[in-house]
Amino acid sequence: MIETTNLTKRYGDETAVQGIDLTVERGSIHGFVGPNGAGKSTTMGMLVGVTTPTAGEATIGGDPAGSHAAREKIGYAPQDPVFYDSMSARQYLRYIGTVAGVDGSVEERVAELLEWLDLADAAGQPIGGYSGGMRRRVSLAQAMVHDPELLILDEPTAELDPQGRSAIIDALERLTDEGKTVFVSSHILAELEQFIETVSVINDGRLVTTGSLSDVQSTVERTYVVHSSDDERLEALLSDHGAASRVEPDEDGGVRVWTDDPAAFETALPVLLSEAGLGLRSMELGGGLEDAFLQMIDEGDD
Amino acid sequence: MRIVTIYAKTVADLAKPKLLAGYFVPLVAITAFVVIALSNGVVPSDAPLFQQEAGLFEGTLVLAYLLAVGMPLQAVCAVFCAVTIGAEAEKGTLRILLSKPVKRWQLYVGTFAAIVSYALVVGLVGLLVSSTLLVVVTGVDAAAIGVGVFAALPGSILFGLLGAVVVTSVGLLLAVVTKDRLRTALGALAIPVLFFIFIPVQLFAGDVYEDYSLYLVDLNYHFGHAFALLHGTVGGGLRPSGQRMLATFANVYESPDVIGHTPQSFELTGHVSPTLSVGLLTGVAAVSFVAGLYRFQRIDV
Repeated sequence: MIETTNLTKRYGDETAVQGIDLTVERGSIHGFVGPNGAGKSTTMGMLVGVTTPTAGEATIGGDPAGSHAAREKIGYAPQDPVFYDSMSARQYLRYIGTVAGVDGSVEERVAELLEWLDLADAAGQPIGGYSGGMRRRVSLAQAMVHDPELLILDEPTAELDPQGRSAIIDALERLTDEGKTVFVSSHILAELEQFIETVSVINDGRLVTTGSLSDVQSTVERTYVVHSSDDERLEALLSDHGAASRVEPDEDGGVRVWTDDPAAFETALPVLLSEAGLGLRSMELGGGLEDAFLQMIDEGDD
Repeated sequence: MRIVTIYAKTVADLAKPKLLAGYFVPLVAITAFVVIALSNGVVPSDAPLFQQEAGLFEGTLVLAYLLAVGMPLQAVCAVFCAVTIGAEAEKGTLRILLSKPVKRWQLYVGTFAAIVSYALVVGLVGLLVSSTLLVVVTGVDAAAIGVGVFAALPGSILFGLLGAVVVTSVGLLLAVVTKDRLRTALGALAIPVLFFIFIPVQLFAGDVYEDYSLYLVDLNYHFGHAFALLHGTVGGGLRPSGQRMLATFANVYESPDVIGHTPQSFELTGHVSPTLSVGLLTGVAAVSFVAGLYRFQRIDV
């Protein structure tokens, strides 16, 4: 659905995005991860057609990004949900829908979206009075108003409370159930890994890695945080054990362990504890997308 | 359908009471002072009808040229450009619109048409309000209104249209280039400022004005030419009283040697031809419009 080749954007001497090669399959939900200023929004802008690439190309469903045909396939929600605050959600969606070419059935489509995103009760009130969660849902609704095949969502859960995030995630999951392709960025990585299938990591304008979530996670060491009856002794024991590649006291208490071989570590730990007469209080598994992301960023910085 | 929707939405945005008050409140206040000045002999209420008509015609032209469809309307157009595309680019709503399957020229032309046509309606209402004040305060015979007011309307409306087109073309180009409300407004306001600033220059520093050929950049002079030409084309021509107004305020005609004497017809000052002035203004508008549209097709937001 999305194909980019050497996609690059420079502003004067500054390179915002450098040579991005990316493929997103039709019907998938793809996470786009990177620290602030990494080039996520610029890349999304080039895919949507509101930012002109300096070099390289991008296609959306086979059509050049920015072309009328490509924009028909895309629904875009920017990072900051901005609206005409004096308009009601219904007026706003009707306007955006008509501009997007939903002529005859725009009223029906707007009513359907308002109902679907639980905005029907407030649909007549000015958007300026909406909560952050409601504004995010209006932003998602405007992206969907012309029923696009691909949704490009820039931090759709940013600054939302857990309830608001949950509502947006539910909506995204329903969209993928309907066969839509979703390209989504988020800085809350633990949340993103609940529902994405494939992921790309970007740092300093360059693509660090791209692939399935499990493949990306497997490229990094797993971490564990182990709490025992004597953490200092446990740290000394693990430091001498081959299953752990690195051992450090964790800043929140306990011992943080890095390992290339999680199975061997999980087998060895109970034996070690038992032989030393230590009790296991808790063990937390790290090594999710967040750890993978941080490790890749660290390696990139080095 | 899309361009109509964009047009209607833009007009709705411009029809905000605050924006309208920014035009009408100063207009009525300043008009009241001007009308009081005009009622003091310029528009005689006890003279024969033809003199009342001539006085009312000149008064209406003064109000049209300097106030209702002149500088204030141009300033309003500058603000309209800032609060439409300038504000949309600054706030980020333009990013959403441009991501939709809509042709960019439709957004640009729809906004341009909305600003110009709405400004023209505002200017016409302003002109009618000003003229009504003039008629009421001077107490002229109602029979003088046909020639004194209505004969001045067609040329004045066209003049308002020209000013609105020039300022909106330049203003939207600035909005596309700067993507910023304040810089758009200030940049486009340069036109009415350059219109106004040369009135005192040519009134009180005539030698400097002539010696340094300031008429070349004097928008008041070029707009004055356009005013005369448009009234000559659709309004049956300026009467001597109208020419006297342009001699006084725009340096378009030679002022009479004898103060108080109104000749049969005033001579043009002739620094440049009226056609060249109009060509210059329409050229600026056309180039700005095309450049703005071209940049808008490629705008990064």
